[in-house]
Amino acid sequence: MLKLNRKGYLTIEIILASAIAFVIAFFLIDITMKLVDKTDNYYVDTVFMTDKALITKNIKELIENDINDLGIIKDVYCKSDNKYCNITFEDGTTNTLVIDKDKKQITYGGYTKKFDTKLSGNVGISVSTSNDTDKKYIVFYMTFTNIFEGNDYDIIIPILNEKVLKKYYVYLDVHGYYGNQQTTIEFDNSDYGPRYDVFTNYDQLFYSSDSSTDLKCYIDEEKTIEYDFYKLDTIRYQYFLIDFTTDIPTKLYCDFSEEV
Amino acid sequence: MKFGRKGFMMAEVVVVSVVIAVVLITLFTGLNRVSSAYEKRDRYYDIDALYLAMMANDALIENGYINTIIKTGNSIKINNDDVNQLLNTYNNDDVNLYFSLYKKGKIDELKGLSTTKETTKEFIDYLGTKFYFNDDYNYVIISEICKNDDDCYYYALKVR
Repeated sequence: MLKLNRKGYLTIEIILASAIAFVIAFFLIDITMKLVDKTDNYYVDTVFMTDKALITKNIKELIENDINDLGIIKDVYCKSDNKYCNITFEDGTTNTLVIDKDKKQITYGGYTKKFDTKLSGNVGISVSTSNDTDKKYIVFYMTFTNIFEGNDYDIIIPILNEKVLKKYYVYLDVHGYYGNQQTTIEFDNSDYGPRYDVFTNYDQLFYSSDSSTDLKCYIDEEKTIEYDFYKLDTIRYQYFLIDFTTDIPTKLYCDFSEEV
Repeated sequence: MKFGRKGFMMAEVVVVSVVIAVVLITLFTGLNRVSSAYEKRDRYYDIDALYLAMMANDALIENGYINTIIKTGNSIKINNDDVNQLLNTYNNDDVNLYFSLYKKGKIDELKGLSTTKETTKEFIDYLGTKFYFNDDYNYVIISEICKNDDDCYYYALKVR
């Protein structure tokens, strides 16, 4: 019977062990590279998601404020090669929404937001409008490409092309001849500006609507800092209009004073 | 009994390999879980879909159609002139909107609609695990923006 000797055992051992070690090393390197790749992508995705939220919110707000101030959008022209859109409002003003690939930033009016340097592959901007004459809905598309992965990233900014009456809420704590009343009033930014008729809610505090009545309001409860209205009407039998300035407080502490 | 040294290196390599393999498998499993979570965050909480849902909700409130669909109580794919006008403006993508009362069974009814995509059904299943249904919402508007059939992004807007 052939008897195996033990020569060469160590060599076989080394070869087998090395083979196993190389296979393990290969998979280890492979998974490490995939991990680094994925975490890098997640980083870009997360940063872009944050930037996208800020850009969409701020630019949408700015354009819709411009619609309220300058009139509805009459025309939009986008040049994708130059990466800008000219937006013309009803009063003739034109503002520009720009993607600057070199500076890695998006600009509209006074607002500028930088985006990640990895997203400066193909960048572009385009617009789509609804089919009606007034272009009730306008959608801006901004696209970016990751220069390393080739993934596309989009920002879609939908705009309602209508003037929206902005609502204001002010808590009024009013003292009159017949006592106090606290109410939160709600009013729009009307054609005359932010205006409210105080008489309707507070007439029961007056001694007489025929007497001359003054209204003074203060920003603080101690009534040391007076609020200057844009205009205060004189009290009439049916209405008492107060016009707020553009600086509208959330709370006012007011006194009616009458000649009794 | 005397232990020989032959074969020790092999045994060593095998033991270390098993340990490393276990670590690799754990890492790989964890990585897949993280990858799946990121994927869900990207697809199910999409900002573009959020703004679409908000604008559609405003349009439905303004034209009063929301009252009609709340009264009927059915879970539907929204088909309304004003909303369709908004959807048609998104001409780069396939966009859809769904309405449901904020109730578990009602949201699941959306899966039974003939026009509901597979990815939408998966999203509705996901909502079933995330919505508690004991908070004070009246209805849900689900917006869907698809670049192609497999590449869709969603948002579920809960409204009081």
